[in-house]
Amino acid sequence: MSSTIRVACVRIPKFPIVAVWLDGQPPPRQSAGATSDGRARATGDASPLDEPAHWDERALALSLDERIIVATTQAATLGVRHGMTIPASRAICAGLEVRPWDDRAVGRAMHRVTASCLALSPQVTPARPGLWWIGAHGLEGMGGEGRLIQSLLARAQRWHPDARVAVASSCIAAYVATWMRGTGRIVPRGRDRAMLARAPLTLLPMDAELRDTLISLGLSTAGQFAGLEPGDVEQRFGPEGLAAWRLARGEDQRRPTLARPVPGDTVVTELPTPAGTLEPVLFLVRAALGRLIGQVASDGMAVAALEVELKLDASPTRSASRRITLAFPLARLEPLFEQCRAMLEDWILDAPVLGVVVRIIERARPSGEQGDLLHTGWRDPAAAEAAFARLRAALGADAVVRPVARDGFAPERRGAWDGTRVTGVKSPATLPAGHPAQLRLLDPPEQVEIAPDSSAFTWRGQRWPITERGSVERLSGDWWASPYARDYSSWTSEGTAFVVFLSEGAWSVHGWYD
Amino acid sequence: MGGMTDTVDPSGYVELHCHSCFSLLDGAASPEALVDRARTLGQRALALTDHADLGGAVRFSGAGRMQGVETIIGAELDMMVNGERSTVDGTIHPNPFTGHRPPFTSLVLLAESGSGYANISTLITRARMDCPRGEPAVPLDLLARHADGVTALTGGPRGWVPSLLAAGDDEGARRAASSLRDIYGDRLVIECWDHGLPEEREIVSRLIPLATWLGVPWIVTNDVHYARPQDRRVHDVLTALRHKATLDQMGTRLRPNGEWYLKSAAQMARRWRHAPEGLLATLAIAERCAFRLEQLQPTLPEFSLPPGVGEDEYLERLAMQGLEERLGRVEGGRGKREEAHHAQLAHELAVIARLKLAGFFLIVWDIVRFARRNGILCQGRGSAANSVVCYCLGITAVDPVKMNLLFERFMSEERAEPPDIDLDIAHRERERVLQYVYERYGREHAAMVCEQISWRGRSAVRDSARVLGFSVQQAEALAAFSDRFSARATADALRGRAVADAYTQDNPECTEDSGDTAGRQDARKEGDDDLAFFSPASIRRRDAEKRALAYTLGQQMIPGTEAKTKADAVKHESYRDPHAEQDHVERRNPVTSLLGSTEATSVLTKAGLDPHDPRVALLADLVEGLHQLPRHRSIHVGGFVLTREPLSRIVPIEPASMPGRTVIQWEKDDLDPVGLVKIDLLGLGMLTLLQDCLLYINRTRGVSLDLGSIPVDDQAVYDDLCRADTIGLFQVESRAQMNTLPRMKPRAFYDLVVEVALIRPGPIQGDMVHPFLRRRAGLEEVTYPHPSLEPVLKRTLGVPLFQEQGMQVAIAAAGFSPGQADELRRAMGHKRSHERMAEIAEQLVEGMAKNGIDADTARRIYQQINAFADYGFPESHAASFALLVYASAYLRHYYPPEYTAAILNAQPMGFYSPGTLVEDAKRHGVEVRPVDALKSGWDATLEQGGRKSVPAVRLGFRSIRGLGTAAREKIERAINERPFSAVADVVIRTGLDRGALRSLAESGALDCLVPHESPERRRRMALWEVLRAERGVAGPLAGLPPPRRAAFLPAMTPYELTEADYRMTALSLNGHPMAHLRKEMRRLGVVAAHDLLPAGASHATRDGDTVLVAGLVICRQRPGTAKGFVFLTLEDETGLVNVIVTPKRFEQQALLIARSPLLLIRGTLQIEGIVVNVRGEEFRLLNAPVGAEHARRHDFH
Repeated sequence: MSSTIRVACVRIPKFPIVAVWLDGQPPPRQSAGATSDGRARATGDASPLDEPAHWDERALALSLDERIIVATTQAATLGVRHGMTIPASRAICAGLEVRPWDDRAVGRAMHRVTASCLALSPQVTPARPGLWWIGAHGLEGMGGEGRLIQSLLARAQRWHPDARVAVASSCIAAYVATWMRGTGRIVPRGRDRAMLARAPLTLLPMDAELRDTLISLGLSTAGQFAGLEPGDVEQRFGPEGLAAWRLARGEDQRRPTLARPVPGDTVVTELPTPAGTLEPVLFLVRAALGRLIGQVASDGMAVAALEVELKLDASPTRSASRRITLAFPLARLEPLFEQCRAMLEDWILDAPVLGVVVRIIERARPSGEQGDLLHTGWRDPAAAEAAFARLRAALGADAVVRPVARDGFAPERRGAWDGTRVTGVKSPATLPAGHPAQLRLLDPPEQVEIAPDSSAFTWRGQRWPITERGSVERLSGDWWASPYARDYSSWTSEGTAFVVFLSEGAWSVHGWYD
Repeated sequence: MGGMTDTVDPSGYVELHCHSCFSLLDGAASPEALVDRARTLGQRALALTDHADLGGAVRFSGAGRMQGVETIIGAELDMMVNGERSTVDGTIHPNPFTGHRPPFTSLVLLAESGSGYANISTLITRARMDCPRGEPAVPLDLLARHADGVTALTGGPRGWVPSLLAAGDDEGARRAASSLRDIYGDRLVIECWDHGLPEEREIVSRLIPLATWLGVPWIVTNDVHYARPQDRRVHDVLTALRHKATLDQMGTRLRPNGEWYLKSAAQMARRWRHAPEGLLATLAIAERCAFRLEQLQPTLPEFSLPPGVGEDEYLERLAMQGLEERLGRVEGGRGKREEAHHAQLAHELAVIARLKLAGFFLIVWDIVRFARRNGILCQGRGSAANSVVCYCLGITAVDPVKMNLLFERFMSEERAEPPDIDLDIAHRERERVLQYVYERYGREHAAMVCEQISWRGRSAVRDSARVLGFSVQQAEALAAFSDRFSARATADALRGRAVADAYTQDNPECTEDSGDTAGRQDARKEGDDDLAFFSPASIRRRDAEKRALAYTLGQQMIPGTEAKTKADAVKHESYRDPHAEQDHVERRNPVTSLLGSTEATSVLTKAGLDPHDPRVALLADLVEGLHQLPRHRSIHVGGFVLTREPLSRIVPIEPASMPGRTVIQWEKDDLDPVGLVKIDLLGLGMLTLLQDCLLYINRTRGVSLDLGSIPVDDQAVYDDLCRADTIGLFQVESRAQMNTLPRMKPRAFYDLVVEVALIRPGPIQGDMVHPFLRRRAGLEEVTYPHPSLEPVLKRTLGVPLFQEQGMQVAIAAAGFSPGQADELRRAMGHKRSHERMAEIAEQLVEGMAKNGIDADTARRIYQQINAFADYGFPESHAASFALLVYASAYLRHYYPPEYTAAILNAQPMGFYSPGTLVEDAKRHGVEVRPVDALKSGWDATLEQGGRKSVPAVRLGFRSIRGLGTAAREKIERAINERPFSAVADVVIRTGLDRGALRSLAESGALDCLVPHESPERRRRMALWEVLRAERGVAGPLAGLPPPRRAAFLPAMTPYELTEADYRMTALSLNGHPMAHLRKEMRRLGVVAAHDLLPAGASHATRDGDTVLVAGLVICRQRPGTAKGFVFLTLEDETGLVNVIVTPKRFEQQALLIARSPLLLIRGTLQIEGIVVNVRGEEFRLLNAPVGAEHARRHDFH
C-alpha cells in the first residue's frame, strides 16, 4: 500500500432526513452557533430547520413502504425505531413528522455536499448517504490535513453539528476514525492498522452472520480478527471473510475517485474498482453533469448536445461513447441526467466500467420553450421535467403533482395527488376517442340547498334543476382514521351529472363529471 | 319512519342467511348474540348459515331454546362447477362491488329434515376433507347426491347465479339456475339482498324475473355477518386479520358500509317496500325448515363380543375377573374379598345395564387393554375412580370401596347420561393409542373433539394492535400488561378500569348514576333500531342483574341468608347464561394481568404508546369486540367421539392440523346436548416419565419395579414431602404446594389426596385452606355443622374439600338419594341454573328440616355446600393423582439419577425448566455430565461410574437449542454408524447445516474432539474446525501449507462459558450465573438462598429481618386467587428464594419485575417453620453478561 495515499472521511449523521427536509431550499449555511463540541445552537442565520430547535432535536423521520427507515435523535429518544410502521411510530410519538424517502432529494443533497467538497479536493467519492471519501494527499501546499479537516468540518457541520471528519491512509481507517472521540482526527501515516486494532468489529463492513461467528470465536476487535492467518480466514469464511479481514488490517483498495476537470466542457472521473452495475456509473455521470451545468450556466448558456464516454475494463482497455442531442437547450441537471440515464440503461456493455468522461459538445443559448404540456404529441420527458422544475420554482415545491390510484370506496379515497416523485411524463400520443367522463372532485365537498319539492338544488348561489336522479349508494368506513358515512347519488342538471351525498341530514356536492 | 315501523309485524320476516363467529374471521357475532338480537326484534325464527361450518349449531340451538326463537340449521358452501372453483363458463368474474376476483361461488343450504341435516353435515365433511385446508368446496354432482331434505338459496352476490348476472351473462345465469333447480326442484330459492348498493339492486332486478321464469320462490335476506350495527368494526378487524393486512391497507377488501347486521322486519320492509312479497316468502321457507338439533340421536358403536354373549354379561364377566385379580393381589387371597366390593359391583353393573352403557365401558376397557399390551402406562383419572367397575376393568387404580368414594358422582340413573371417563396415557405413546382407536372403529365413526381457540386478553391486544398498524413490539408490550384470560378485562384495563372493579361498576346499585339512566341515554343515542338493549353497558347491567337474582333466589330458600347487598351477590355468585360463558373463567381469574387498578394512560405509557393517538384510543373497543370470538380451531387435548352411524351425518369432520388426526366441528360442551359420548384420551408427561424411569432403573440397577408394587407408606419419602423438597414431582412442585407441604406434613397416602385437592382455586377462594391447616396443626378445634355430618367430614377434619363430600352431606343431612345429591352438585356447579337451584334447594331445606336440623344450622350447611360445589375437587380425581405424586416422590428419592434422566427426556413438562431441574438434581448428589459427541445420545442417558457408585446423568443432544427432528435423525444415524473421529467427521457424516453445527460446537458437545486444547478454548477451537470443515472447498490461499500453530483464539472466561451454556442449552454445568456474581453479592450483603433457611444458615437470619437477595428469576406468578399479589421465585447456586410482591410494589416497577432475568431485591424476611419468604420492597436489575436472559422461565402461566 502506497504511503502517499491519504483519505479523508466525512460522516454526517441522519443525513437523509435533512436532505429530504431541505430539498428545494437553499443550501444550508454554516451554523454560527456550532460549538467546539460540535453541537449547533440556534442562531439568527441558521437554516430554516434550525428554528426553534435544531432539526435533529425535532421528531422527524423518513419512511419507505410505510415503514420508518431513519429517524432523528429526538424521535429515536422517544422510541421510534427503524422498521416501525408509521402508525406504530406515531402511537409512541404522536407529533412525529414523517416524509417518504426521496431518492432524488437525497441524491441532490449528496450532490451538494460533493460539489462543496470538490472545492477542497479533486477526489470526492460519495460512499453512501451521509458518507464521503475525499482524496487528502498532495494538499500540503493548501494547509495540510489539519486545514482540510477544518474546511470539511465547516461544510459538513452545516448539515449536522455532530458531523465528523477524519484523515487516514485508507478509507476504512478514515471511516473508523470518525467514530473516535473528537470531531476531526488525523491518523498518522503507517498507524492505520494500529488504530484499527482497537476498533470493535461492528465498525467493519461485513455480513451479520460473519460478525456473529467472529464474536463467538472470541474475536471482538478488528485487531483480533486481523491477527488470523489469511489462509485460515479464507478456509473458513471465503472471499467475503477475506475481504473483511483485509479491511481489519487497513488494507483497503477503495480510493476516492478522481474528478478531474480538463480543458473544455469535460469531466473525467474514475471508479475505484471496475463497476459491473449501473449505479456507480450513474452517480459519476450525475456529479459530472452537475459540475458541467454549473459552468455552462455561469456563462449564461445551456447544453445542446453532450457525449458520455465509458472506459471499459477490457484487455486491452478501450472506450465506448454515445452522443445525446437535446430537443431544447437545457441548463438543468434533472432532465439532462434523465436523458443520460435512459441512454445508459439501454446500453449493453461487454466489460465492467473503469471510468466515465462526460463532455459537452455543443452549447446554445437557453430556449424559452421548455415543452408544451398540453400538446398531445409532445413526448420529451426531459423537457417536461424542465417545465415542472420551472413550475416548482415559481409556485412552490408541491406545485407539481401526479394522480395516484388508491383502493377505497369513497370517491376522494380512490385516488390521490402525489408530489413526492413526479419525474417526467409519458403522455399518450392522443387521448382515446370517446374517453369516459372524468369525475372532478371538490375538496372539500360543498353543501347545497334543496328546493322544498326536491326538484332543484342551489349551489354557489345558482339554482340547478334536477332532471334525473341516480340510484343511492351507501358508503361508510375508515372509522379508525377519518370516519365517514354518506348516501351517495347522482343528480343530472343541465346536462351535467353531479355527484352528491347526504350526510348528517345535509346534502353536499362532491363533484361532477365532465 | 315511525308509521311504517308501527304497521309492520315484527315477526313478518325471518333471516335465512346469517353468519356467526363460526364463519371464522368473517362473522363477528356469537350464535347467542344473534339469537338474542332476533328475539329482541321479535323474530320468531333465525337460520345459522356459517361458511362450511356447523361449529356454532349447538350453541345456536341452545340459545334458541332459551330465548324462544326457532333455530334453523344450515351452512353456506362454496361450490365447484365442472371441477373448477368458478362460474359455469369456467371464468372467474370480478366481484361487482369491489372489482376483486372472487375465489369461487357459493350456495346456502338449510336443513328441512333430519336427512337434510345429515346431508349438509356430510357435504361439509367432504368439502373439508377433500379440499386444501382453508378452501372447502363441493362439486356440483356431490350436491346433487346430498340434496334430500335440503332447501337451497342461491347465495349472495358471489353466488353462482348472481355472479353470472353481474358479469352480464344472463344466459349463463339461466343455465346455472336451471341446473340448481334440477337438483333441488321447488326447494330452490332465489336469494335477493339490498345493502344500499346500486350494484346489488342491478343484480336483484334481474334475479326476480329469473325466479319467475324458473317458477321458484324468491326471498330477501340480509346476508348477516354481525348482530348489531356497531359490530361492523369487529367485522372489519376480522376481515383485516383474514387478509393479514392492516386496516389502512385493506381498501375495498372491506365491505363498503355497515349494513350487514341483523335487521328488524320494519327496517327490511322499508327497504323492500316495493316488493314486500320477498319478506313474506321467508316465513314459508322457515316453516318448511323444521329440523331441530335436538332431534339427533347418535349411538355408540357395537362392541365385538364373543359369540352368544351379550354386552352386559361380558362386562360382568370381565369385571368379576378383574375383581378377583385386584383383591387377590392386594389382599393376598380370594378368601379376603370384601362383601362391600361385591355389593358395589353388583349395584354398578345393574345401573350400567339399565342405562344400556355396557358397550361404552367395554370400549374403554378395550383401549386400556391395548395400552397395557403395548407397555404404555395409562390410568383413568377423574370421577371414573369412583367406580368399582372401572377399578376392576383396570381403567383406574384407586379402590373406590376402600376409599369410600361415591359412585353417583361418576354416574347415576337420574342423570341418565354416559359418564365422563378420562384416561391418562404416557404422552409420548399417546398417538399410538389414538391411531388404534381410529383403526378399530374406522375414521367414518371416530374423530377427536375440537377446541375453539378464542381471543383472550393477550391475543386480542396483539391482533387489534396489528390491524391498527402498531408494531409487533408495541403489541407485545401491551400484551405483557394484558389479562391472560379475558379480552374484556383487558379492554377494561385499557380504559383505566380495574378488572376487579368491573363488576361493581356495572352493577346499577353500586353506582350513584343508576344503570337505568345510562340505559335511557344509550337508547336515545341509538335511535330507531331500539339498539339500546344491545349496548355494552346495557348488556353488562342485565348480566349483573341476572347474577344478583340467581343469588337471591338461592338464598331465599334458606331463611336469613339474603345477600347483604347485590354487590356481594355479584361478587360471590355466578349465573351462567349464554352471554356469561366467559364470566366463569374471568371470575376464577379476576386479576391475571400485570395490571392492577392503574390508570389506562399509565398502561399505555408503560407500553410505550401515546394515549393521545386516536388509534390508541380505539384499542379498547376492538379488544372488547374480539372477546371470546373463536380465532381458530384446534384439537381438544384428548376427547374422542365414536358413533355407530357415520359420524359425518351427525357433525362435520375435518382434518386436523396434525397429520393423521380428524376432528369434529364441536367442542366438548357441545356434545352433551346432542347425546354424543366422549372418551378423553389425555397425554400425561408424568406417566412417560415414570415409564422411562422404571425402565432405566431396570437397566442400570437390575431392579424391576411397577407402580403397583411401590409401598405407599415409606416415611423417608414423606420426609422429602414434608420438607417441600419436591422440585420435579407430580402436582406438588408448584410454589403454592411447596409452601403448604411443610404445614400439611403429609405422613400417609390420604394426606396426599388432600394435598392435591387443597391447593386449587376453589378451596383457596372458599377460604378452606387455612382452616384445614390450622385444624391439621391442632391450632383449631375440629367441629361439624351437625353431628350427622361427622362421618362425612371427619376425614377432612370438618372442612369440606371434595365434591363427593358435598353430595354426602346432602345425603346425610337431608336424606337425598345419591342421584339427587349428584343433581344438586350439578345444579350448583359449572352449569348453574337458578331455576334448578331454587327447586333443589327447596328439597334440601325440607330434607334437613325432616331430619331435625334447625334453620340456622341448615343455612350454614347450605352455605358450605354452595361455597365449594362449583370448585370443590373430586376426591376420586385427587386419589388418582395422589398415586402419581407418591410414585414420583418415591422414585426420585431412591433413584435420583434415573429420575433426573427421565424427567429431562420427558420435557417439556412440569413447572420447572431443565436448568432448574439439573440444579436441583446436583443438590441431591446427582452427577450431571455435559453433552458429549462421543458419549451422548439424543436423550439424556445414564453412565456408570458416577460418584458413590450411582449412575451419572449424561445430557443428550436434545438439550441443545435449535436442534429439531431433522437434526435428531441425522445425528442418530451418524452415531449409530460409528463414533465420531474428529470435528470434520461430525460435519461430514451428520450433514447438519451450519447453524446446527455451530450450536453443537458452542454448546461444548464437540469439546471431546479437540482434547489437546485447554478446556476453556475447546469450544472455540471446535467452532474453528467446524467452520473449516463445513466450507469444504478451500480457496487459493488455503492451498498453502497450514500454519504451524493453531490460530490464536482467546480462551473463554468462566462468564463466557456459563453464558454460552445458557444460550445453547438453557442450563450450565460450568457454574450457575449467580456463582460468578457471588463475590460481588457478598460485598453488597446479599444473602444466598441456602443461608435463608433456618436449618442451614451460615448467617443467622430471623423473621422480620431486612435482607438483600438476588438470583435468576425462574418463575413469576400472579394467580387469580391472590388479589393482585405477584410471586417470584429466584434461583441461585445454592437453592431457591421465594419472593412476594404486593400489588402496590408491583405497580411501581411492573416492567422491571416482569421482564428482568436477574433481580436484586431488598425485602423483609418472613419465616414460618421451614417456610421462608421474602416480601420484596425494592427491586434492581442485575445487569451481568452471564446468560441469564437465555434461561427458560415459567412466567405468568
